[in-house]
Amino acid sequence: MIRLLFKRLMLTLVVIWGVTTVSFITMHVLPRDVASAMVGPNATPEQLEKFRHDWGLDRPISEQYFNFYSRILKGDLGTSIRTHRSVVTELVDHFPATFELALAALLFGLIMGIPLGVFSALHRNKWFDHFNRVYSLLGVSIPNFWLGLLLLFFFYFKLNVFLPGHLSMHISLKRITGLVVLDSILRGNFRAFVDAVRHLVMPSFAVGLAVTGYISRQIRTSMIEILESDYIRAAKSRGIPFSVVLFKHALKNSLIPTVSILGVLVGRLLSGAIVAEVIFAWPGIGYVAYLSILKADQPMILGFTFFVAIVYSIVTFFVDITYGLLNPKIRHAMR
Amino acid sequence: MPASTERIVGKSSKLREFKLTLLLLWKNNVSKIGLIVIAIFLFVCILGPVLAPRDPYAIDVSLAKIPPGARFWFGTDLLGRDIFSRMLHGAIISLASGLIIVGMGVFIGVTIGLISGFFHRSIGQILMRLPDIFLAFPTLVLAISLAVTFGPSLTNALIAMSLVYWPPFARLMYGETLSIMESDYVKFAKTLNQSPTRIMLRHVLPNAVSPIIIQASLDFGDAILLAAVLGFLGLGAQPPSPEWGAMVAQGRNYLFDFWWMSIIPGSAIFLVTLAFNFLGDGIRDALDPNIRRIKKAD
Repeated sequence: MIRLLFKRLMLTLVVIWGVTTVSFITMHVLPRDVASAMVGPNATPEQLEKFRHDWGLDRPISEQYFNFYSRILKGDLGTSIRTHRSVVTELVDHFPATFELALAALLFGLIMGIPLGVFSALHRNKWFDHFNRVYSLLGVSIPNFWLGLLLLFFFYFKLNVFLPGHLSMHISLKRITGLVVLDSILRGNFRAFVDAVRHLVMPSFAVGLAVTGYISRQIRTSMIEILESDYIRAAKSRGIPFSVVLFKHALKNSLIPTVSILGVLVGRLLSGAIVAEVIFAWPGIGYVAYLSILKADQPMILGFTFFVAIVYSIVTFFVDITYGLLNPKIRHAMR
Repeated sequence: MPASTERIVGKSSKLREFKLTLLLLWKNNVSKIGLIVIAIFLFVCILGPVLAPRDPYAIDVSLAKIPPGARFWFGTDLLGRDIFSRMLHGAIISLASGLIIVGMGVFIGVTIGLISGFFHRSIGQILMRLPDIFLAFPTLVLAISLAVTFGPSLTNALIAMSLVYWPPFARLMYGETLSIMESDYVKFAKTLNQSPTRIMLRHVLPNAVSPIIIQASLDFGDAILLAAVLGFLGLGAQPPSPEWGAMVAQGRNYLFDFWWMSIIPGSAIFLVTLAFNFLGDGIRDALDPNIRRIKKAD
């Protein structure tokens, strides 16, 4: 177990090293004047010179590479051109909103996806299964920026039930975690809670729809395999009620392979969140990244990429470990 | 059996397998719908510019903001351009984007996977860490980062997307190469002292083609969608290009007053992606050995 953990950790470190190196290469080695890109098109030659000197761009490349690492290890990813604030501060400020959205979308995906998958497996090749297949394909094919616009048009503009943004202006809520739904519960502020939920529904649906498809297809596949296995037949023949067999034996085991696709799902959730944040003006890191794209704010974009890659690597690391712990076959092999 | 006979038998059975695949795709309602929509899409890509009733770039402010109707089927945009004509012209951009992204992804991935698999004891060990690193980023995030670095334009976006698309193909090709390397014919070729290049190109590559093609066809819808997302974020085709994602982005600020400007081009992206995913799902089913066996028995 410890050896596997160590091996996995080493791979994660190699990946993080690779990610930082790719960032360094895109920033420094590409045949493009970094200084003018960073300072902006209206920079004076003196400003450019100062920037090059400040960032050590006039030093040899090997020294730059070393400096780049010492900066990163100190947690310094540079300064945003757009806001003149530290990139790390921007990311830390806005990450909770993205986390909240991704979590809500994942919950939505699980709540919808698991029952859909189970029913499809039980009624294999019947109309419900076909419906679910088409539904899943719709979920992964629908451009979520387009879905977001449709939702905005009907549920905000026509019906005014759900709202874009994070929290209405007239509601004040002191930040604890940055997750407004959670904060409103912690503060016992019911009005803020209702308002926060009204804002959260549309983006989490827009992101969660694709996730639902992945989860339900995965559950269906593993459920079908498990329902045909000997131990389920044995349990049934012992007269254990079908509902118990289904939920206690089959569903529990079919959730294990689902954990292994969580890594892929997190990538989907983050990508989806970026687009949904743009559509719904949700103040997460994706929205910040979008504003930075418009201003060609390169340090911010690189910081964002780096940050997402680190978060993603850490999550996949824990997913792999959890999978190892949950799966009896792997657990025994590790002993 | 003489070599020539074997080749003929092999070919005819391969042809039969291919025909069976096509039949299964047509029998499956989901993939049939996909095929029909793709056929229409291809038709529009080729003949769209000829069929378009108006100039997609002609600006006429007196015709601006007209809702869909008999005169302008899909309405007009803020500058009075006919959205229907623009979409007919823009179709080819989506198709070409998909082809280029997947094509480049396959080319880079297959090259790296093949070399890594062939020299899996030496250079392959290092080379195959590359996909690990690339897969550490969510595809969209890396594509955004690269596209920003290269500067916003359709060409740069396509380069960026090709660079993020190859790692899964490299992994697939690596696995295929490793298993083919164990086969007797490759061992035989090695004892004949054939050059590595010859073995790779003549023996390994042709035998790994079909899983690669299948994977590529499954990824096609996804690639078109990714291209549209970059277009929407302003990193792909730039105005006045009638790229569908960019059209959605241009119309989105006027959603509540002139919904058609963004909703209609978006629905085209949705339909095309859906059609390719429908077909992909059908291909996956058609190649499922269990389903094939049942159909063959009929």
